[in-house]
Order: sequence, then C-alpha cells, then structure tokens
Amino acid sequence: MADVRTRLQEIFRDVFDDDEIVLEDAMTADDILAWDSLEHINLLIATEKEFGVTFTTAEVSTLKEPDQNVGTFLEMIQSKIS
Amino acid sequence: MNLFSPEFLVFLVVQHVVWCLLPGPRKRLGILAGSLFFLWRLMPDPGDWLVLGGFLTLTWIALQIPRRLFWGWIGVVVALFVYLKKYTFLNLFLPWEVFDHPWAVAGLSYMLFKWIHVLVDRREGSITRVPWSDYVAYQLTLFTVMAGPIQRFKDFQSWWTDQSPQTTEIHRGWMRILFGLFKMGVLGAGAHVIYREGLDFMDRGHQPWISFWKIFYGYPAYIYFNFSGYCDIMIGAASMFGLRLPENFKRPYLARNMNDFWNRWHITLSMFIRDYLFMSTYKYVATRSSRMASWMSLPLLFLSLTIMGAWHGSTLNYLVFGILHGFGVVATQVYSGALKARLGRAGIKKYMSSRWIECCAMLVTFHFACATFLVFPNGLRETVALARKFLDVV
Repeated sequence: MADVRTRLQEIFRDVFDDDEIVLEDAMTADDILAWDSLEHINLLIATEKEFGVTFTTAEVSTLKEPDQNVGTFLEMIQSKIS
Repeated sequence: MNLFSPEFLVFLVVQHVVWCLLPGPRKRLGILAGSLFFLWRLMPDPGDWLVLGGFLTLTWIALQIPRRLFWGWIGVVVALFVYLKKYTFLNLFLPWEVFDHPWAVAGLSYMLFKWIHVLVDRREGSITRVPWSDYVAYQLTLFTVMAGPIQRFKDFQSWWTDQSPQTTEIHRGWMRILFGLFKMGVLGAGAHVIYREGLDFMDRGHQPWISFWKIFYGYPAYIYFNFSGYCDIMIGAASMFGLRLPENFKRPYLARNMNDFWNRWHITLSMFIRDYLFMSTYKYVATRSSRMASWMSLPLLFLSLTIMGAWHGSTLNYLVFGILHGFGVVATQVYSGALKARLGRAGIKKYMSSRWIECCAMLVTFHFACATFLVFPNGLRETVALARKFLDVV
C-alpha cells in the first residue's frame, strides 16, 4: 500500500502541477484547488497508465461523490492490482 | 395526475397503506400497480402505451446483449427518441410529415438517459443482471417517471429487491412533501403570476422596464420553485417507501460560476451528462492523444451542454438554451485558466477566499442564468417578438 501511495502521490503532483502535494486519506477534491472535472479525468487516465488498470464509468462517477476521498481511491486501485 | 391536487394526496396515502399491508415480494406488485395507475392518469391513450411497451422491450433487449452492436443500439434508440419527440429543427433536413404522428409518451426523455446509463454500465460490467421486471420498474416507478431525479440503476435495484418498512421515513417524508407543495403551490404559483403579469403588460406596452424585470426574475423563480418543489414531493414520497432518491437542487442561484451552477441545478441530469457524455468522450480522446485532449476539452464541454439543452424539449429554443449554457461553462473554464496563469497558486487562494469577489461572481452568474431562462418557456419566434416589442416601447 505504501508503494501505491507513493506512486499515486507522484501522479497527483504531476497532474496538478504541485510538488508540495502530500497525499492523506481524508483528502478530497475540495483540498486541491485545481481538482475540477477535467483534471479528475486526467488524474484517472494517468492512474490507469501508471498501474495498468481501467476505471469504469460507474467508478469514475463514484469517485466524485461527496463521501469519497483519496483513501477510497487508494483502496480502489489496491483492489484492482491485487 | 396533478401533484397539487387532493387526488394525488389520496392516491399516495392509499398506495402507502397497501404497500405496508402487502407481504415481502408482493410489495413490488403494489408499487408497480400504483406506478401504472399514476402513469395512466398522465397518459390515458392506449396508443401511447403500445409505443411505451415497444420502447421498453427494444431497450431491454439491447441490455441483454450490450457488447454487441453497442453503437448500433444507441443510434437506433436515439433515432426513435428523436422521432417520437418530433424535434422541430429537423424540419431543416426532413419533411414535417415524417414526424406527424399522434404519440406522446410521458417521461420518455428520462427513460432514454436511464437506459443509456444501464447500457454503458452493463457493457463495462458494473451492472451484471437486468431482469425485465427490475428494468420496467426502474423506468416506470411513480417517484421518478415524470421528471426524475435520475437515479442510478444499482441504487434502485437494491431497494426494489429488498423493500422493507423498517427503512421508511414517514414523518420526514410528509414534511418534505408539504414543503414541496408550498414551494410549488405558493412560491412557484406566485412567481408565475408575476411572470404572466410581466408578459401581459409588455404585450400592451405598459411599464416596459418593470415588465421586463418581472419576466427576467419571475420565470427563473417560477421554474426553480416549481421543479425543486416537485423533486421535494417525489423525494419525500419515495422516502415513505424506503427509497432514497438523489437530491436534485442545492441553492443553484447562489452559484459562483456556471460550472458551479450545474453542480447545484438539476444535479442528477448534470451528473449524467458529465459522466456519460463529457467524461466518456474526453477520456476517449485523452487516452489516444493528451495533446489533442487539451484543446478538445472546451469543444466537448460546449457540445455536452448543447445536447443537454436540446434534450429538454423538441423546439429550437431549448437548443439555444443549451448553446448559451455551453458558452457560460466554456467561458468559466477559460477565465479560470487565465486567472490561474496570472495569479499563481497563492494568488488564486486569496482570490477564492475574498467575500467581495464571491458576491460579485454570484451576482453575475445569477443574472447570466436568468438571461438564459428568457428563451426557455417560449419558442424563439415569441421570444424575439417580445424582445422587439420591448425595444419598440423603450
């Protein structure tokens, strides 16, 4: 999980062009200024490429819901690669 | 059936009593029978029911073989939808006689979007089974058949297959219904009177400026109270049966830009457009070429909002409504991008936290949204004629 978090953090920094981002489980789109619908998809595409996974439309949609955060995103990636 | 009528309230009470008395799986039959009765009161013509049956059968067959001919199914069903809805701007390409049919199926626009959602999720494996009875109930349930909210199939299915009186919220449900009735019947009706008065005065050339403001603010107030009131009634009614429907409004006229507006107005529609139209097409482009994606994002956004506008109705004014909102959302994106480039991260944080800027942004967004609603209730010709009359008098 630590490795997944580090790799995901690099993706976040790259997509949102911010080297100061440090991922925390409770983090949501509200915590990162540039995290709008467009960057959300760019984030998912970069994640798909990095981890060799695919997100369905339902998953893409779920990740934007209010109760979702970086922790649930990490869990989703973990479940797909394990 | 008029929601603001004793008939609807009696119907709801009877439906709820019957539902509580019915044992386990029979509750589904109760809901289905009630939904068919509700729909029959809206759509009594047998011909419309035959068309509805055909539409549901065709779309259900497509769901059983979602990977085969995916785009073919989409094309056929969208063409059928366009034919049934009699889109008037197609007169430019086809003779009017082609669309001259007597059928008018209630709730068809919502059925189309719900079907596309299930088809895409079936194709991607997010939805595994779509039994006929679940699908028909999902499309026709009385709580969403008229005008949404657009609920996701899995959420509906988990309730449909396990309806339990333990999850009902009778007191809160009735409070929500009463609140909705107040919004529709008092605030919405009041706003509509002001709007009609503005139209009448404008027609006779009286007090043109006062009439203009009555129209300008009256219709947006009416449509908000009417539609959000309707949603309150349906969300409240559904909660009495243990069904949790998604919220559709979140103080939309306090949005700070047009992106924010669509996160607050008809939320389930904008989420559908975002996920199944914009995100799908953008992702398709971005996975093939990230360079192309960066310049395609704005045209795709504009196109998504335009389609969303055209979906509202078959006349040209809805298309114009969508184009205006497409322009608003694209302008928001361009402005945000320019601000980020100019102010930097620290500057943007300061800008976003300024109360003055927030108030100004809200005022501008509210007035832009009101201006787009000028084309919503009437055909383009009527709107242009009204504008001409106003300019003549002023």
